[in-house]
Amino acid sequence: MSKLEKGPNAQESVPSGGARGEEHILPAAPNEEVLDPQTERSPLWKYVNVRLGLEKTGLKPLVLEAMNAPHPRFMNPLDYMGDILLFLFVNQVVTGLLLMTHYNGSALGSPFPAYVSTLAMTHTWWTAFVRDLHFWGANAMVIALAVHMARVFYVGAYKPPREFQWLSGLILLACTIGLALSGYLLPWDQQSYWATQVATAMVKYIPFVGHDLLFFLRGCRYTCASTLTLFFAIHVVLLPLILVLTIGLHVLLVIIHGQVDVEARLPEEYKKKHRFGQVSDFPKGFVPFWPNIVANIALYSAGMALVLVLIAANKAAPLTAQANYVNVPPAVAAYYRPLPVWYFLNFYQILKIAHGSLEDHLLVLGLPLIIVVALVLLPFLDRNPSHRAKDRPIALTVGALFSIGVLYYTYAGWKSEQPAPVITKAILHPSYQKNLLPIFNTQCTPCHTGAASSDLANFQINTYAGIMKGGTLGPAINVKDPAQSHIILLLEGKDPAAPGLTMPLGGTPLNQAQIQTIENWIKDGAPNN
Amino acid sequence: MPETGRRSFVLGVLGAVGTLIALGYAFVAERFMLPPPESASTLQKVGTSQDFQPGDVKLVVYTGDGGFPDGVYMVRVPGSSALAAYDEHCAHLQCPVQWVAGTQTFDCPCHGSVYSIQGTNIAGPAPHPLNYHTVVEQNGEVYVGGIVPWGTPQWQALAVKWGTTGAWVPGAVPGTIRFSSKA
Ligand code: FES
Repeated sequence: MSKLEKGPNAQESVPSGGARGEEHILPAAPNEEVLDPQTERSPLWKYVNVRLGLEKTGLKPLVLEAMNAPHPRFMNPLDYMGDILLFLFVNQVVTGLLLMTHYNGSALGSPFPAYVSTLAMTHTWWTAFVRDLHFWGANAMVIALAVHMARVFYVGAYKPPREFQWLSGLILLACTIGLALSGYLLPWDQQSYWATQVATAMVKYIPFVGHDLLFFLRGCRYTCASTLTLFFAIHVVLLPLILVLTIGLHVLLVIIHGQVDVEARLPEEYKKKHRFGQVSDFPKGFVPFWPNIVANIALYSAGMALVLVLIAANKAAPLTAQANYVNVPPAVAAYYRPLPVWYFLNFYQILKIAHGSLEDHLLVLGLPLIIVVALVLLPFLDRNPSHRAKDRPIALTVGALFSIGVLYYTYAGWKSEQPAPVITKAILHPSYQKNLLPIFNTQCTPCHTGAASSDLANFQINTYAGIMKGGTLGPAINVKDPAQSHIILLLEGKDPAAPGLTMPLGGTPLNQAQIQTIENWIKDGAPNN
Repeated sequence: MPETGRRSFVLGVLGAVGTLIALGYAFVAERFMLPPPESASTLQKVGTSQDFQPGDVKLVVYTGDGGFPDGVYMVRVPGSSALAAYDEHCAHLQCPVQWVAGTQTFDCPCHGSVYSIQGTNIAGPAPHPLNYHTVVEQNGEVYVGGIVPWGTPQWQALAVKWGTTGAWVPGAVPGTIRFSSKA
């Protein structure tokens, strides 16, 4: 007992700078009971205490503080995000270990073992379910992480003395993104192959060493079998290891400093009296971490688990065709249009803005650099000591603008990938480029691609020249009598030259507004506008 | 003095030897990690001269020494009888570009980069023209070799030989176009 108190007492002689957080270790009254007597009496505690040397090493207060820290009985659910993340991580570890027993991480041989073994998982209910849990768990982690970060930012939990919590959190963020990215490649399908190709290609923008670094990361010029081997190692060994160690540090710091909004709600009186690791009288309306808050965490985790199970049981993780290194239509049957995973749609959309080298470098290299530097420096740049929203107009405005930007570009990126806009009202003077091409490109090109092999009716609808030329039925367009154009008659299913044929063949017919729009365009003389 | 003198001497030697060993490893690592000269990869027959007529753009598959197939566009450059070979990977973030006969351009499906039939970037974020592959036309047979990345002297030499540099004409392709490349 006395041994324990010597620690804090010894520091008493050193005048404390009055910094935040140090108030916890003010001297204890010499005879005051430091331990929770109930805890101390438990045989388990006695056993663990001796084995781990908690008393000998002075770690006892840490454990006691962790167990007994007072929390408001009702906390903002958002303050449980960190705990939910921890649960999600455990879900990833458990399901990930299971997946490893079915996965063959090789891209040598044809078909690729990595792809075939992943595909095989989709064939039985339980293997598919575990894979879906892992997939949706990863997506949930990205969302929970974003919410957790936003909450931490909003309550100013990165401010002194919690800078290291913020920084270790950034490491966790980087690891999570790295895990998402490396895990994405493992199925070795089209989607994963091309997403990885594009994501890793950004490395070449790093000045001087970029090209060599990219080669090192991939093991080849373009994503190849070596890339899969390396990414598998990164996904199952390197990043989980860093993640586990950093989670330990992150949680330890939370125990030491407590949560910001808990601290804000604790009465001043209590804070003055309380010493780290000591059980003081609980303020009214407060409950200890163990067992009350732990019970809440268990409840939230169970809720999260239920959501995951429901999603995983109903929605399968996507799996496209196996990776194809060439992937150019029409040479490749299963052409896949490369698209990023949803949480990178924002960056994907932003990249389209650039014209040429300079702007491109600014976006690919400059933008992420600014964001990373800003995140790392945030606790040191924001010197405003207040945690209250009212006192932090600048920080919160910047944060809000950033969030709006991310959301907007995510939406814009998503929207740019949607099928042809449904026209519900005929456009009087439509534009070929803006109004018609989107329809042709989504509804007609599967067959009339302009590629010799799949160019049905010898009709190329995806180019202006092709549509003007027409197909085997002759000109598709009749400017003199627009309603009698083959293209209109075929879409309506009443072309006397092809009885019973309605385009798109085997697809959903176009609606009247869409057909009318095409007809209006022909009435205008079918301009290339 | 002799005691401390000897100690600092030993420490100095240790430091020097340690540094030397570390530098040696760094040098070996640097050499080891250098990409092999890919343009020296084995030649592969992709067709006969007849297969590639003036104005033709055809995709062939070249499998390099690493055993990985790579799409290559064989192009009879208009206005020059040269047979050029462009790597299919976009100069931006390496998506596969597609030949669009209607506009006579290579379009990238990812962020909208566009290249002329000369392989020159003419729109979108692409920072430079397409990479090349070596081509050998011999006795009516056409062989393709390894990649020749943009920015190397070999690339410059091929661009001159094929007549693919600076041949881009402003306004030839619809849309806002800004020209930006060293080539
Ligand atoms: S990869 Fe081609 S435009 Fe980005």
